[in-house]
Amino acid sequence: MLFFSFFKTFIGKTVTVELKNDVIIRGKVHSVDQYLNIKLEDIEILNIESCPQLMTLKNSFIRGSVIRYIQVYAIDVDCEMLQEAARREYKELKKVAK
Amino acid sequence: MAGNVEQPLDLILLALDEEILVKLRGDRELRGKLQAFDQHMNLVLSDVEETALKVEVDNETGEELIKSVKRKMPMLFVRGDGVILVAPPLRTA
Amino acid sequence: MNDLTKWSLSQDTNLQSPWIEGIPGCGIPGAASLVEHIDRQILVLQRDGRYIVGYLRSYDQYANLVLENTFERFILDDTYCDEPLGIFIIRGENVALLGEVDEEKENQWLSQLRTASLEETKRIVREKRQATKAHLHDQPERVEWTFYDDAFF
Repeated sequence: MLFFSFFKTFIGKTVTVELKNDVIIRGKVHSVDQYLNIKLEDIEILNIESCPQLMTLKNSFIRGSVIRYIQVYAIDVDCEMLQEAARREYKELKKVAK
Repeated sequence: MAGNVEQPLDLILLALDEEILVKLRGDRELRGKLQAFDQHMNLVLSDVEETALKVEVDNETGEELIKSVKRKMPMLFVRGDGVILVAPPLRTA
Repeated sequence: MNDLTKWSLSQDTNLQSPWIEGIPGCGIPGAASLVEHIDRQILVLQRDGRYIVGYLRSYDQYANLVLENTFERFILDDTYCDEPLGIFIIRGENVALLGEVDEEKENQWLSQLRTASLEETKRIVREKRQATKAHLHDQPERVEWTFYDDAFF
């Protein structure tokens, strides 16, 4: 759930999602759920020549399972806090497993 | 150090805040500093360099050329289902 | 990042409560806020690269979809054509992305294209897909790094 919480902090911020079919979509995060399905608003397809149909979309729901990468602005990330959260989640997870 | 590593992900925990190499499905490799991970091997990396192998077909000869394309990305979330391997930094000291 | 300082696995209230703010009763966890698209015309890009357009009537937490008045849209260079398909249930795992179509943008885009004969377009598009598939299977050395089940043809 670390990354669900992580991406909730990006609601309203711009990210670039790269899908496994090489489509690249930039947009503002509208919402995200625990499967990391993500909904973007004001979208822009960065490689439109590969999929001209998508140009007509206003917003886009992207299924988490087809995502390869999500690029975010480094300025939106507090690295220290993120590492700390990752350590904490891993410790908790091991505790639960035992 | 070795005593703390009981399961595979323990090794990734040790690599936090270190430069790692990630090999991905689809002939891609990433090099970057590990900022976060979870049990699915979802990762966040910073100062990433991606190397992707692309096949280009020469229109005239029909020959296939394998080209490596590099890209830099300052902060990147990587979905765990594409990860083939994670290599922690070499500890020479 | 403020959320993360306080966040812990056992105390994340978002895991218990419906997480879409401002939409009471929308308790389906997962499947982000598809509720906003109910009864709207949406475009679905499937994992195999096909485009399906239809009115979203229902969905669930896996993003399984029920679409009505559905058609598949084929694009070939500067021509297009639609094949009516009726009611569709799309299994969630085959959905790559979906979105609401901006009618103005769509009309503008379609006005630049010509309509084409359905049979002919379908035949060419299918041939192209077959060729791509065959090409991917023709790369012996690369097989071990290529996972066809999640490749997009």
